[in-house]
Amino acid sequence: MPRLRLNARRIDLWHILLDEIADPTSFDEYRSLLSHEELQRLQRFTHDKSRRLFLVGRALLRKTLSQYTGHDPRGLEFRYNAHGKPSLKTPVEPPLEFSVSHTRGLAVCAVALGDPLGVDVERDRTVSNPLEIARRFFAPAEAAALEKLPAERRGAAFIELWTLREAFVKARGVGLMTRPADFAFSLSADREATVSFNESSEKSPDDWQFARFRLATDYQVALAIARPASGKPAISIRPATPY
Amino acid sequence: MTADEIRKAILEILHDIAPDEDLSGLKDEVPLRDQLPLDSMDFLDIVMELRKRYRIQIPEEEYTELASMASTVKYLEPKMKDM
Repeated sequence: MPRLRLNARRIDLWHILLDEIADPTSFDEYRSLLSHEELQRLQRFTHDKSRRLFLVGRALLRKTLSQYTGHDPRGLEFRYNAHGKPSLKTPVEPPLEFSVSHTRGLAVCAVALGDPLGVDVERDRTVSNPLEIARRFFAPAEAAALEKLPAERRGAAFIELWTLREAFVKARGVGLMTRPADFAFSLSADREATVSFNESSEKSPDDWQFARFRLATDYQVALAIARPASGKPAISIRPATPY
Repeated sequence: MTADEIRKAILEILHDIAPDEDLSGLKDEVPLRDQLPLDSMDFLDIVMELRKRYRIQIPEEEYTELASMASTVKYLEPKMKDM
C-alpha cells in the first residue's frame, strides 16, 4: 500500500465510531496489531465497552502511523513523557507528530508534519458540576464566562472549553491540572477559539492554532497545533472504518 | 460511616455519573477505569460530588487514591468515620 503523505498545512484526523464496526472479526484484526504489553493491558479490562475502546484506539494509532511511515504497525514502539504524551521510539522521516483521544464510542488519531499537536474528543453528556469543575480547574476568566451563560448552554460550552484545554495541554505534553490559570480560552460563535496566556507563562498565543468542530452527531472535537496564524491548518477528517 | 456505607455512597455517585452501567459485578480491587467507561471528566465529577454531598475536599495530588473501589474506601474511611 503506498505511503500517505502530508504537507506543511495539513492535519489528518482519522476516526473510528465503534458502533459502525459491523464485522466482529475486525476486532481480531485489531488485536493482531497490538504489542505484548498492550494485549496484557487489554486483558485487564472487565468491561466490554472499555476493552473495545482501548483495543480500537491502539489499533487505530498503529495503523495510522504505519500508513505514513511505511513501518509495520506491529513493530512500532512508543515512549511516553511524564504526562503520558506518546512519541515514536525511533524517529521517522519526515518527522511525524501525532495525538490520540477516545471517548465513549469514538477513537481518533490526528497526525501532522513537524509541529506538536493535540486532539481531544468528548461525547455529549450531562456534566453534574460544570461550574464547580470550571472554578477549580479552568482559568478564572473561563469560569466567569461559563457562569454568565444561560444554564441550558453551560454544559455544551463547558465541554468545548474542556476539549480545547485538554488538546492544548496534550500538544504541549504537560498535565491537565498543571496551573489551570496559566492560559484561558475565549469562545466565540463566529470565529475560532483564541487563547491568552498568563504573563508569567507563555508569550505568544499567535504561535498556536486551534480548531473545534462536531463529529458524527454526538461528539465535540478540539485540535491544537503549534503553528503560527500564517500556517492555518487544513483539517482532513477521515473515517478509518473498515480497514 | 462504616466501610460498607462508604462503598454504598460511592456506588450511588457512580450510578448518577454512569446511569447506563451495571455496577453489580464491580470488583473492588480492580481499577474503576478498567471496569467502567470513566474518563477524567467523570473522575472530577466524582470528586465534586464527594465535596457536595459529604463536604470532603480531596487535594489533586491524592486523586490517585480513587483508582479502585477498595483504595477509595480505604482513603475515605478516616475522613468519613464521624459522619
